[in-house]
Amino acid sequence: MRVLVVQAHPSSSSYCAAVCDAAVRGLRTGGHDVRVHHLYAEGFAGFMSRAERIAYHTTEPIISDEIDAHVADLKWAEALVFVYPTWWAGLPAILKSWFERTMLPDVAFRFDDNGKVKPALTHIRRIVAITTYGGTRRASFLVGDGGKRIITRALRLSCGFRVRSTWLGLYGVDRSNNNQRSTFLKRVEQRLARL
Amino acid sequence: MKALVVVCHPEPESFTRAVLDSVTKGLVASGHDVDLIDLYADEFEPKISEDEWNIVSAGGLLESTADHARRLSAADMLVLVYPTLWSAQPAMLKGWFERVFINGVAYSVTPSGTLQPALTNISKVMVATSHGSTKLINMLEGEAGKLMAQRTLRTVFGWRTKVTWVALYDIDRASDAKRTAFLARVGQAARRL
Repeated sequence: MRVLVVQAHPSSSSYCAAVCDAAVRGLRTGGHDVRVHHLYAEGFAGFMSRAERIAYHTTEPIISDEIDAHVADLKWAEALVFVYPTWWAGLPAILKSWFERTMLPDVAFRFDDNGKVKPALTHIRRIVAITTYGGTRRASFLVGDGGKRIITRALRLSCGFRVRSTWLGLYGVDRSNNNQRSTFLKRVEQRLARL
Repeated sequence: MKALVVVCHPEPESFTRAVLDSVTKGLVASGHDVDLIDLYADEFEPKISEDEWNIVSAGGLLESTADHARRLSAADMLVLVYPTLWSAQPAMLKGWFERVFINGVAYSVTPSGTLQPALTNISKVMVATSHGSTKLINMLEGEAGKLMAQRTLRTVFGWRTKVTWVALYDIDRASDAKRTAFLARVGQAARRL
């Protein structure tokens, strides 16, 4: 499959970066065609600009080469893999910004003649999220996992009903030991090898 | 009471601006003091940098957001005004939480590792937001932003903090009458805070 990986962690030496490497290794082992975006390393902007907002409701919402390239990869992909730390029960600002700036009208969704929203990412067959949580699984459930809802529910609505999603979470990462961390890396690599 | 109002919209002339005006009028009419943070006007940087990430991970405070942290700690109410994008707060507002609501400002961690809320000064929260899609679509999508306001944030405000949610759904197809009615509803909700 053609797989687009989007990674969002400020530190290239972070555990999250290692998780992303494991995911990419697994995908390549599985014979997949992989494109990776490290949003921080690329200097991706953390917010939608005024000009982008104004262009959003026009017929030409893409106004930069940067977003054009991201959109091209999004259209190329059959699977989306997100690797990020869950912060405040959601996507880091930079990844949320990627959704807002890249998942544009006629890219992620389109409006029908009645102005109703229809999915436009019907070529996406798989969605995978790999994320670390500071709190335990129970705590993450109790405080609400908004990030999971955005990816497994909101994004899936843009993809059509046959898309399958896979959720790989490492809970309590702040207090995890090396053994738990390396076990999770292996799990990620193996899981993505047989995507 | 002191109300910290945080507005987040890339276009200064948008409908969100009218919502903000209604909110502010309502608060002032009830005799509250309004402290306004306009994230786009202030060119707030939502991305936490690698250096800042290292500081925060080590339990340190951020100088760059100390002013906002101080104003948050001095407030009795927090009012958020924004358009819902991808079923949640805009990235810039999400980044505001990540860079302002840090250890030592929003919460502390006990030696045993439990999180202690540190913003119990916030007794009331109000959210005024608009959604491009209908209420049904938003329900299917999971309303991540609402969950954040009603549940996640209360871990640092305390569970007794009251959250008022005022939302306009399907705004792209909303008539002028609907929009005006919404502005009135927002103003009323702000007055009652």
